[in-house]
This record gives sequence, structure tokens and C-alpha cells, in this order.
Amino acid sequence: MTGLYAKVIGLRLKELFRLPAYWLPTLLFPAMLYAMFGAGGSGMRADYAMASFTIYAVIGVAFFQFGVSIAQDRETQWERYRRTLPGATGPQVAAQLVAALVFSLLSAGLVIAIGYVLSEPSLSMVAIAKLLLSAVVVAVPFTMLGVMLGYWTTAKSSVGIANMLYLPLAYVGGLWMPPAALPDIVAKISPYTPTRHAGEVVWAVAGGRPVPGESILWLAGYGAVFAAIAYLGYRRDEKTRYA
Amino acid sequence: MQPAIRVANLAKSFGPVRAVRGIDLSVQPGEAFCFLGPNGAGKSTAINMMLGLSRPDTGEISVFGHAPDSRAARILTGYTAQDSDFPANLKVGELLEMVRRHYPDPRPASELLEQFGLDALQDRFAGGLSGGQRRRLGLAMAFAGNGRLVFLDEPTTGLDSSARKAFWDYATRFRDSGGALLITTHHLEEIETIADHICLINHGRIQIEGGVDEIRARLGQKFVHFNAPELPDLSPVTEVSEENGRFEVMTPDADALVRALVQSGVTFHDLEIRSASLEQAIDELTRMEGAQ
Repeated sequence: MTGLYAKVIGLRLKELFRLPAYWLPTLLFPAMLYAMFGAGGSGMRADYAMASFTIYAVIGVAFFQFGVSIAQDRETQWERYRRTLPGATGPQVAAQLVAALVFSLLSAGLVIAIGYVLSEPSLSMVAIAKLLLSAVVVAVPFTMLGVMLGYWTTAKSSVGIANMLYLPLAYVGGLWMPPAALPDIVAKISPYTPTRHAGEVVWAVAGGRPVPGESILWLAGYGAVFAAIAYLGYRRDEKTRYA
Repeated sequence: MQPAIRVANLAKSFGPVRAVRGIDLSVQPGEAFCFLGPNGAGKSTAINMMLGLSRPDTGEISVFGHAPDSRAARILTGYTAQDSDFPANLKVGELLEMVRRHYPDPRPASELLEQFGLDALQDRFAGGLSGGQRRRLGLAMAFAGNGRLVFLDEPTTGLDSSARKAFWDYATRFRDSGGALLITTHHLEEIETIADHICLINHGRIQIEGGVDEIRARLGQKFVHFNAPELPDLSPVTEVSEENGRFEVMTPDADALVRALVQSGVTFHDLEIRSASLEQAIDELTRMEGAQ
């Protein structure tokens, strides 16, 4: 049992890094969108745009890493076999978490690097660290949403459905353009989306303002709802597959 | 001696379908137990419960005295699924190593690689393996934990004849060193030499059960075939069937039966005497039990 956690986590990372079709879009897509539509300018404007695309990157990893991989894994014989091994669950969950963390930090790091190349943000290194940390915390409810998708979609439908939710949520939430620049109708829906509140949190962090408590409540509420639905899906899967 | 696995009064339904309806069995250390039955007989359902992958509606299972889904039971158990698949982007050596790390006292990786013919495949991605290679990796994993009870679900599907022989030799050594095997298979001729105990399950119940010697003794009957216009009075006869004027007589004493046949004066021809293989014998027993 020596090094079981290290082995399972290490192989999970290897497995993902050996699949460019997974990590290239995961890492490059947010950075690319940012370079094309978000980067530029200086000062506060540059800070806000960078913060927006940082959580856009982190949320994407939480969404796809958990959502799509759960949907795909749970249909395999390997998953069934793995359950017959002693103490298999702990290392597996740890591997998912570490992989999500590694890829979200890489993906967010790339956005920040591009931000410094293409624009002139005013954030200090400490502020950047705070931004990254808040992005990871804010990603928790989206991780729940990813897990929920993983249990309620099939291997084939998961990627499509994840995109269908992720892209509109990012747009409506104001991660691609500031909420003030959104069309009227979209701006009306925006305050009810989890992405908008994720944005409010990181914008506050980037601007050195106190984090709005209201947004934290919204995110906690969304997180609880997603987690509950994810749990129901998990129970349903356990019942059909392993009852 | 504590049994490797003991199952008592096991039952499970899926809605109206009673997949398993009252199974009792036990497998001792050093015993190869063959679990047979047609598809849909309830075998997989029973094995899932024994592996702790699903819960029985009623009944008890104990693996060396532990609940089948407990860590203690899992450490003592190995398993290979019928259609193994593996993460395509991991290598044979990596996967085997990961499985080994789950156990406190695994078998040496070098031994497993050699015994299951995986030496040259260590650095191959699992996604590129052939059916037989996947099977061998699955089998190596089943023995990797050095467990004392190993479930083998159709273990030789996809293996060529030399790999089959090597595998049965390995399994026999495992059994002889005190390991318990629970094997399901459709290839009865392969298990004739290793099986100590046979259990045939049908419609969720155990239909035929016994030691191989015992079953062979029960089925150590011969089949006498001949064409004749009518069937004379013969003895000893276990069972008779007839098709297009050709009789098949199952008898415990073919010599006595043939003497009686000659003395009866019936004009028989094309006389043929065969002994039953394990497979025929089991088919025959199934038929007899079904007729009762």
C-alpha cells in the first residue's frame, strides 16, 4: 500500500497529459478567448478582464474534469473492477481533485501570463495569488455542477451538454464582457446566474474591495442545489449499476 | 477450517425478475469451485453479490469471515472480469503497479509479468492491446494482490491454446498452494482437470452440485446406441431416448446391457458405446433434473 495515493494521482495526471485532445483545449481555449476578446488596455479595466477570464478558465476545468470524466468512467468495466480493490475510493477522489487543481492552475496561469503580455494590469503578485485562490474557491459550486452532469449525462452526451451550459453561463454571467456591456435582456438575467456571482467575487478581489456577502450566499445556494442533484444522480447510478 | 467464501440462502430480485432465489455454497481454501450455468441463469448476479458490488435482498455472504464489501475481504480477494477494459492511455506496467499498490502484500511485479506473458508488453499502452493481451493483463491483476480467493469470470476467453495451458498451470499451482478459486466458464473440457467442485445454476437456483469425482460417478454412465425396430426389455437402464429408430440407452453397466440386448434376439445394428464427457454428463444431468 506504500505510495498508493501518489501512484493513483500520478497516473491520473499522466493519463490526462498523454491526451492532448483533453489538455490542449482545456488550457488553450480560455487563454485564446481572452487574447482575442478580453486582453488589452491597462489599470482597472485590464485587471477586471483578467480576473473574469481567470475564473472562466478555472470553472471550465471543474466542469469538464469532473463532469465529462465521471460520465465516461462510470460506464466502463474498469470502474467496476476498480471497486473490487481494497480502499480504491479515497485515492480515486483525491486524484480527481488534484488533477482538477493542477489543470485549473495551469489554465488560469496561462490567462494571467497572457494578461501581462497583452495588457498592463496593475495587480501585485500578492493580488494575483489572492485572485487565484478566490478563483479556486469560487469553482467549488461549479465542480458540484460538473459532478451533477457526470451522473445525469451519458459518456456520449456529456461533452455537448457541458458546453451548452458552460458557454452561455459564461456569457450571461459577464465573464466575456463586463455586465454593463451586455444587451438589456441578458443583463436582466445575469444577476441570477452562478457565473455572475463568481465574477462579482473575483472582481472584488481584483479591485481590492471587500467580497460581496450576497454573492457568496448565491454561490453557496447554487452549490447546495447542484450537490443535492449530483447526490441524487449518484444514488441513481449506484442503484442501477451496483444495487 | 474457515471457508474462503460461504454463501447462505442468497436471493435477489430485480423488480419482478427473481434473478437468484436461494443459493447456498461454500468454497474451501485449496479448492477450485466451478460455477456453471447458461447465460441469464443468475451467475453474474450471484458473483456481483459475492464480490460486494451489489447487495443481496436476503441471505448472507462471508469472505474469510468478513463482509464481502469490507476492506479485509477485498485484501483477500482477487477478481478478473469477463470483458476487461483499461484506461487506454496508461501502460501495462503502470496499471499492474497501481493495482499492486492497493494491497499490503502483493505478488512481485516481475513474477506477474513473466507468468502472464506480459514481459514484452510492459511499456505498451493498454488501449493498443489485443483481446488476448487484455485478458492476460486482467488475469495478472486478479492474482496481483496475493489474495487467497480469486474470482475468474470466463478466464480463458480470447487466449490461444498455449496461453490457456500456461494459465491453467498457474491456477493449479495457486490452488495447490492453498488458494481458493471460483471459476465461471462455458468451456467444460478445460476445467475437467482443475475443478474440485462443480455447481450448476439455472433459473436462479442450484440445479446440480457435487465434487467432480462424485458427478463423474453419477455420470460415469455409458451411452449405448443402436438401431432396432423395437426396444426389448433391458437392464440395467438409467434412461432411454429414441430418434428415427435409433435408441440411446444410458446405463451404469454397458457390458450387462449389451449381453441382455444380444439375448433378447432383437435385430439391432450399428451398435456404439460411448462414455460421457463432463460436458455431456452435465447436459444429461440437467435434462434429467429438468424432467423431474
